[in-house]
Amino acid sequence: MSERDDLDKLTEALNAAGRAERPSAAKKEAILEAVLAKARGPGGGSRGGRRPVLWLSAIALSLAVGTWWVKARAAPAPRLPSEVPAADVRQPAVAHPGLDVSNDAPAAPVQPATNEADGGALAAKAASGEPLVLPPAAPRRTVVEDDDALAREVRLLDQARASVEKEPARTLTLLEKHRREFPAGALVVEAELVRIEAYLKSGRRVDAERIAERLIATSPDGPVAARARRLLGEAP
Amino acid sequence: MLSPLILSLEAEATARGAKQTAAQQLRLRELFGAHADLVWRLIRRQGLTADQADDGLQQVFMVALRRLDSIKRGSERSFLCSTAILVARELTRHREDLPGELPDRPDEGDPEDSLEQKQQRALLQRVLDQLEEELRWVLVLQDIEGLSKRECAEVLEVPEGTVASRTRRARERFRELLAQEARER
Repeated sequence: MSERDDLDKLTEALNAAGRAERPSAAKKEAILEAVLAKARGPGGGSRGGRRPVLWLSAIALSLAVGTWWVKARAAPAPRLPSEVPAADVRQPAVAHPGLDVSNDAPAAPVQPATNEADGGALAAKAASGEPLVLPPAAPRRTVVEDDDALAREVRLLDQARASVEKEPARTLTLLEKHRREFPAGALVVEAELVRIEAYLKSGRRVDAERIAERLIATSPDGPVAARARRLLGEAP
Repeated sequence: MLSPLILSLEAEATARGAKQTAAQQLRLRELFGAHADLVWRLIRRQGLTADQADDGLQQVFMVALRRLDSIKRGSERSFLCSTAILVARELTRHREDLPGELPDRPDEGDPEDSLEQKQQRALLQRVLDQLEEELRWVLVLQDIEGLSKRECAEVLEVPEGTVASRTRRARERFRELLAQEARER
C-alpha cells in the first residue's frame, strides 16, 4: 500500500473521529434551557449563572450576523465570512436563500448614553445584576440601519487594531475617527482597549494608564479591567 | 463589551423575549436538537476548548432565537454554520477573557470513545490548527461534517468554484501536514 493510500486511510479515520465528538446530553440540555429561559423573558438566566455577558455578546453577534446575512444577499464574494465578518459592506444584489427579509425582526430601540458616565453607571448596574432602568426610548431604527452601523464600526475598529503593532499613530487617528462617528457605539470599550495599546506602543504610558484607570474604575473585577491591567503589565 | 448600546439592547431584548411564542420556542428546540452537535463541533474545530464551545453554542442559539423569523426554512443549517463560524472567530479574538484558557476538560464524547479515537481527534486538531482559515473551513464543513459543495458555498459566501479550488488546496495541504506529523511521531 502506498504512502498516499495510508494517508487517505488515516485522513478518513481522523475525520470520523472528528464527526464523533459531541457535547454531553446533560450539557446540551442546560444550554438549551438557558437559551429558552431568555426566550421566556425576565427571570431567565445565563447557563448556570455563568457570564451574563454571553447574552450581550449574542445580541452584538446577532446584529453582526444580521448584517452579514443581509449582505449575503449580494452575489457571492470571494472571501470567507470569517475573513470579513460583520464589517464587510458589500452591496446586496440578490436575496440570500437563508434570510427572509420581509419577515425580519423589528429593530431594537437604541438609546445611547449621553456621556461616558452614563455608560459606566449602566455597566456597573449590569455587573451587579441590578435591574436596568433605561432612559426614555429613542426613535426606533431599522435592523438594517443598526446592522450597517455596527458593521462600519467593526470595520473601523478592525483597521485600527490591524495597525497598532507597526503604526500606532495611524491607530490613534482611526480611533479618533471612531470616537467622532460612534460616540455611543457598541464597541466603545473595545476601542478604549486598543487605544491603550496604541498609547503604549507610542511611548505614551501616562495616557495609557489614564484610560486604563477609567476602564478599571467602571468595573474593577470585570474582564475589561483584567485586559486593561494585562496590557499595562505586558508593556515595557 | 458592556457599552451603553449593548446594555440598552439587552434590556430591550429581555423585554421582547417575553413575547416569544410557543411556536418559536418549539422551532428553536427543533433546530437545537438537529444541529447543536454540529455547531459545537465547528466551534471546537477552531481550536477552542470544550468550555468555550459550550459558550459558543449558547451564543449561536441566542442569535438564532433573536433572528428566528428571518431564517428561511430549509436554510437553517447554513445559517447556524455561518453563525458558528462568526462566533468561533469572535471567541478566538477574545479568548483571553474566557476561563476556557484553562486546560481543556476531558473529552465530552461517548464514554465508549477509545483512546485511539481521542488521539486521532487531537491529531486532527493539530493539523487543522496549521491550516489557513479559508482552507480549514472548507475541509471541516465538507470532509468532516458532510456538507455539500453548494451548502458550503452558501455558508462561506463564496462561489462554488471557489469552494472547489479551496477544497483541492486544502486536501493537498492537509495531506502534507499529516505526513509531516506522521514522520515526527
